[in-house]
Amino acid sequence: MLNFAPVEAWQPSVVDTFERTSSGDLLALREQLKSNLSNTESEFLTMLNRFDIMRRSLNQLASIPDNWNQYGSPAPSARSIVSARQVLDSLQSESLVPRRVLPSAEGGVAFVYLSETENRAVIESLNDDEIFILLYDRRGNSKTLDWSESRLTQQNLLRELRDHLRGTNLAAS
Amino acid sequence: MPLLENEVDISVEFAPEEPLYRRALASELVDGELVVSSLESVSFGKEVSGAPSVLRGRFAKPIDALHADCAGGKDVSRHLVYFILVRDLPDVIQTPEGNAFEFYPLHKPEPTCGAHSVIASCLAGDPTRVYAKPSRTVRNDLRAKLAVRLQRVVDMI
Repeated sequence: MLNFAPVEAWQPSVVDTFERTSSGDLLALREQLKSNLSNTESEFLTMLNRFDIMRRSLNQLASIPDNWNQYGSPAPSARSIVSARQVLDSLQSESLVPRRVLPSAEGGVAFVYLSETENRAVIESLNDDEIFILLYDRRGNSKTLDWSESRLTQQNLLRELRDHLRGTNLAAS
Repeated sequence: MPLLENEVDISVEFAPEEPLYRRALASELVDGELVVSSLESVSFGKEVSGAPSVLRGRFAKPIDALHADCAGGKDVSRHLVYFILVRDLPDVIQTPEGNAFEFYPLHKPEPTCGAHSVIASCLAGDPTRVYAKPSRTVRNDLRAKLAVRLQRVVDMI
């Protein structure tokens, strides 16, 4: 009778051979490489997972009402959310994971970045179609960068964002 | 209870040491930090009434910021209260194009919230202080400065 047998998972028989014939140094190196590979995969999957969470949070912003903050701020428009989704795609291609996605008090969507340094940033996609990156620090310095449709310009903007989050001095930039 | 409109005197000038109170949603803090986008109402409308709202300390206690009478009748009792001193408001912010905007507190009482005020703006040097909506760069700079200068009211309530 025919029956289906799933492919067996990779067995360490080859490794066993390797263990029998290799030196202690090579074994240590192998363990190090395995560990690095495992960490790399984990970081990558964690990043994908975080972007997935961001996308779901973004979808939830579509259902918040006007005056969500009791200060009269408008709800994010459908257009601002669509634009924010495109920005998020660009952020993912540069592995720049925002800490949070929030409604903006200005009306729209905001991606928030904190860092280990005193530097902070938000990217806002507003209801009036404005999109910008606001770099700022805990001393109150700031710099606004207009978003661009150009892929090349986006890469430059996101490079500046990355440098900022790594601690580049805003006053000097 | 917050003072009513007819219980405050708008001719009293703001003192440099006077606190200005604002609310913030706890859920909008990021890692416990007030960030630019979570700073509620740091937006500017076409009219001065659309400028960022605050309660002036001369006529309000911090807890008044959590009263429905100062929130359009809404329940804001779970919000947090922050303050900034008048002297810590940024006075002039320059634009890259060469314009400069001044910021100052303006007492604009509401019927059930006499301490209601706004952080108004005008072109720097305008003696009439006609309200002028700042450019995006200036607004963002103001938001950044407020986000880092606003302090949580902890012991005052």
